Amino acid sequence: MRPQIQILSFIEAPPHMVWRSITEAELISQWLMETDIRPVPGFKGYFKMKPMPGFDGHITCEVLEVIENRVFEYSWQGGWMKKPTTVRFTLEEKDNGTLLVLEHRGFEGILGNLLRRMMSGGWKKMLTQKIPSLIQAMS
Amino acid sequence: MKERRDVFFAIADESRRTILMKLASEEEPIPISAIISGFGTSRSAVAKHIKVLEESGLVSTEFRGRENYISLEAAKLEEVYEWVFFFEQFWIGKIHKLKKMVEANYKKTNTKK
Repeated sequence: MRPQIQILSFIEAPPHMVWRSITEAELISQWLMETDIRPVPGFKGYFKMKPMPGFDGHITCEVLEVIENRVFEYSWQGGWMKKPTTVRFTLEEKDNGTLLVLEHRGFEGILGNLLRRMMSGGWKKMLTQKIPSLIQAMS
Repeated sequence: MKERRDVFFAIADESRRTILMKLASEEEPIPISAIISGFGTSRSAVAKHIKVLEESGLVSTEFRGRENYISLEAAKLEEVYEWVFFFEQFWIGKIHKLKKMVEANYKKTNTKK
């Protein structure tokens, strides 16, 4: 299994309303978190989560793809995410509403951290049995 | 042997996920006081969460000196698709909130017409 998340949601509102809610900083802060993001390719900004133990809550992002009312993609990096992950929203008009697909991928850095922990813990069984399948999953 | 709690029940709670993230960011077992200091909650509340995590096999505790030290049992966590699961729970909650917000706003604009 490739490490990624995919969530589908049907929203009873037209795509342009969903679009505003996922691309305008003020609206994003109402459902996701504080941000200064703008739907402009190459725009570099931040997201701010509630700080947690082991994580200052600061996430950096860069807008990667913008197709109005259809696709919004940005990178996401912070805390234990050693490499940037990618968050992608896809909108599709359907039955007088919007089918929203959220994909979050690129968790290699996090898996890497887990692998490092396994090795420092000396789980020999994990090394011989689990890691090959993890590496396969990542490639 | 104690009756084991379900791993999914253990990580369904945000506070417990936060504790696991903290443990994952450390190389060595950490004292319970270090976990408590990062929370705005009582020692007993944190201790209860740790007990649930321990019963699910996600962490182990060891009494050293005057304190309990907590360490992550990463092998157990691997059962629940590693860290991806944390983000999955996070996004499910957020997307639900987005849906409710957009639908409420849409209804408002319709009634105005």
